[in-house]
Amino acid sequence: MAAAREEMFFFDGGGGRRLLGFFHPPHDPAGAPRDFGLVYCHPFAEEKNQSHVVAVRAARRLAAAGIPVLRFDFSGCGDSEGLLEDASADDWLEEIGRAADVLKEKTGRARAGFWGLRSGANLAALHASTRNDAAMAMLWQPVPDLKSFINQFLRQKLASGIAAGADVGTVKALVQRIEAGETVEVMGYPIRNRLYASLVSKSAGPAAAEYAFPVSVTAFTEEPAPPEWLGRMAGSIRASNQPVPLAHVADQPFWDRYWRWDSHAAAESAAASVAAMV
Amino acid sequence: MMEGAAGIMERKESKVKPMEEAVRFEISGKSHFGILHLPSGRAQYAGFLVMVVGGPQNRVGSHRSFTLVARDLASKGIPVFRFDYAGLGDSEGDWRGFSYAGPSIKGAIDFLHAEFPSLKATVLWSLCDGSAACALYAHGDRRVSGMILSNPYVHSAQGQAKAFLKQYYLRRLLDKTFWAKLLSFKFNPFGSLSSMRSVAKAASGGAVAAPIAGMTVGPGEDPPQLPEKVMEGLEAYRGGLRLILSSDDLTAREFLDLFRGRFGKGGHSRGEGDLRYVDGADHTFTSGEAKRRLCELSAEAWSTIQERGKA
Repeated sequence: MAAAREEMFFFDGGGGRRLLGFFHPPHDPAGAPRDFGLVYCHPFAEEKNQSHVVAVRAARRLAAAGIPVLRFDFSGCGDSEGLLEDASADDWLEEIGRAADVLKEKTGRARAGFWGLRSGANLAALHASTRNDAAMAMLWQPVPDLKSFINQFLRQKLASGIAAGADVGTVKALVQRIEAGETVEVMGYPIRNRLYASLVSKSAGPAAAEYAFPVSVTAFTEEPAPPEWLGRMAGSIRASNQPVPLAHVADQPFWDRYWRWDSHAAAESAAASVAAMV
Repeated sequence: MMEGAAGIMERKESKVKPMEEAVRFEISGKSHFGILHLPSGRAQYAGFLVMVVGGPQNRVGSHRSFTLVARDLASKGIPVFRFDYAGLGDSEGDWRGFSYAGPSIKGAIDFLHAEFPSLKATVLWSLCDGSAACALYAHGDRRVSGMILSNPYVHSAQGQAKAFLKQYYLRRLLDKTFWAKLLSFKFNPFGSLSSMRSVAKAASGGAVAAPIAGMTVGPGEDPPQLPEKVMEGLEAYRGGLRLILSSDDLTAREFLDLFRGRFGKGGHSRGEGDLRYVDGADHTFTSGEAKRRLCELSAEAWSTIQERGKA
């Protein structure tokens, strides 16, 4: 049951932006082939780097179960064109749609599902909620909302500044500088207002929208139970009159630290979530 | 920390945008993936810079550093190849540790020579444990005409402990404002303060220091006699060498101590002339300014190595 080869390539992400894509073709499944594939939306900044190997493992596990996956880098991130200074979350939402088109073209399958990690999960949900032809949305550890997320990200600059002995002020001061047109570097990531404003405008979480297809939420924590707020979020999501399962992978988070590549549990949960939703 | 007005890419200057090509190549039957940065498209290049990733991580690097540096160098006319080791990034296989990265490095060089038969000069560029991997590898491959290595990882518990004490605690302990700020934020980047005692112990050759929060320590065991093997590798290597060291980096300090201890007194193939420093840079050249300096020094090293090759 040899699969077609994995491919890495550049594709047109819209607006003249060339994006890097990585395609995992499906292996022949035992049962009837599905009519969809998954588009993976990566998390922000260093979380992307740190979670990369686990995401690749999970994508390969899904492909082995007969689900093709297209991973891609948002503009200004990874190996895609563009600088983060010029990026915007609204461009990114459009790029998810382009990736879905590429996936459908490659697979000949009629539908795309949307899978994301952390802020990538929020973007996946936001994009998916604008469609009625999505196969599903699989949200790994979504953040409460993108506005609080980006402000929390800025806070990291204060912490690292203190460790360096610098006087870095407050998040409010950083926001003022960004809104005044300055580039503020946070842990090596240059943040400008185009990106900041586009994230801050998305102050509603995934439960604010309605979805015409199944949605699942997965929490990754070594605590005995997922955080309450995440449970409340999953419970509030309205997805085609179906309950939204809250899966719990009892393992360390892998996006906030280096060298977490042995999360087979995460990969297995991906396959299990998808199987449960279709 | 300096703010960059723009990224390290000089957007105002009009530079010809090099072509980027996604490639797949095989090593021992496993698929590996990388990006070719081609200043003149699919030309026949005489020299190529191969980015061996450090970290260990993927070919993009922390805060996109490898992608950004590669793009900057390519915009200056330097062809660059960035790829993922086996088991890291997008490449298949199992990650066995950087001391086993030799076959991945060889495979990348083999691929380049097959794609560009005109190739005469391959320069390895790396960071951290990738730098160590290059030092272990290069003396055995005549095709490697030069190496540009940043902050090489030559870890030993004793070396780390000595460097840690010098760099961090002695400066910080005397700074009351540092402690006040730290405590008000309830943030402690150094883990337990009891690590200080165990660090001091390790520095004097005592018990192994407890893992220190925030330190770059690779997965699994460090290979035995790593520092010695890296130094031997550098001494045995006959090509051009540039070592770029960050001022604000414990790993670099550990390396510098070892390098000077071995080569400081002259009479060796290596010496102070091989070293360059980036003031204010941390281990991964996080700030825009540090990346800019890294690019400048890398381009300069490339030119020097090319000139040396012609002599």
